[in-house]
Amino acid sequence: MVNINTTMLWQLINFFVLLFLLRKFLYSPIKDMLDQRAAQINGDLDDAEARRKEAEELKAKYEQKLKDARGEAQEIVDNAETRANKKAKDIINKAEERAENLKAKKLEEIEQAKKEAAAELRDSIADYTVLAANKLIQEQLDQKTHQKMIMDFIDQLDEEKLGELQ
Amino acid sequence: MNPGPQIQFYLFGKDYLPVTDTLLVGWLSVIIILILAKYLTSSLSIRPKGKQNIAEMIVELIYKQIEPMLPGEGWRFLPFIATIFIYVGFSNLIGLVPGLTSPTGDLNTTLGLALVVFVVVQYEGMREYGVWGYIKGFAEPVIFLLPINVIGELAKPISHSFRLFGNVVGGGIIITLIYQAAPPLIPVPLHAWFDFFVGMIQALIFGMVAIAYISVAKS
Repeated sequence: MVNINTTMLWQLINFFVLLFLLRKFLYSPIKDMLDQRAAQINGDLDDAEARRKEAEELKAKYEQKLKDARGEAQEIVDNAETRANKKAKDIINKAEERAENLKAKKLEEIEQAKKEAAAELRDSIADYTVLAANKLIQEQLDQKTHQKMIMDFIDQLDEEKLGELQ
Repeated sequence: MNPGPQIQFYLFGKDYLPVTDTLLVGWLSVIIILILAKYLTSSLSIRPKGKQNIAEMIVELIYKQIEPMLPGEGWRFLPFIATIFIYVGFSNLIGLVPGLTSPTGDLNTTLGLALVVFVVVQYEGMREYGVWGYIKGFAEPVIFLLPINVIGELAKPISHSFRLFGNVVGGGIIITLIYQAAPPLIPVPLHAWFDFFVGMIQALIFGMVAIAYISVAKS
């Protein structure tokens, strides 16, 4: 049962032949494949990492740009608003000024008109007064009254000795 | 009943070149293993599929046994250790086929392998510490332990080889006994047990012990 002989040598040859051939057909190709795969995965991971970084940088850049653009837009809006406000104010001021001028001018005209009217009125009143007085005098002074008035006047002259020669 | 290797014929008719059934099965095992290896790795690609997965799984499984015990040298020792695992494992399994005897049921096989491991262990020890440094290691921690250490070192291949041989032959003897005592149908699960599970476990142990010896010599 336990018999050591030259078959041990054969078994050793078996082992070494197997070692040599398996190394060639199994271990080396598999190891190469595993290494290759590991390298590729590493490369892919590095690549992915690089791409991720790149994407993040781009994102940051775009966000900055967006922020800048927003700020710029805000500035433009603000500027426009300020300008519009200023213009509106100018317009209102001008309008007010014009209105003021107009008002002053009108007031002046009114004043003038008033003056003219007053003058006219005064003239008219004088005329009418004379006219009315004439009419009144004409209507009330009949022959008798007229005579009496003349007589009174003459009497008055007498009373005051106006007609008397001194 | 005569367990163990049976001499089939003599090579070139010389008495000192016997060819046993275990040796014939050993050759057969080598051929089958090589065909399988060639088949499994016939179309390798970066994206593994089917048979490539099996080949990678086997190689990586063995690599994972070596790497923790010999850190950084997993791939250097892989061909040697993996060949032990594969040859011993396959030799144990081939005993499942009726009419074939496990090559590992022959002390010539197991002792041969154990001696190769022994030589590798000494070589690795000397490579690590230098020839004199390694030899001096046997006289430590005190000089009078030298004979004990040397005997312990020489006992390694003996225990290493007899463990595998004893398990396989013992399994074979038990199976033979049960074959004689019971109808052939009953022993089938037992046969599977001894040849498959024990065979796999013994192959694992044989390989792990080889790694352990190398690891001890280097530490």
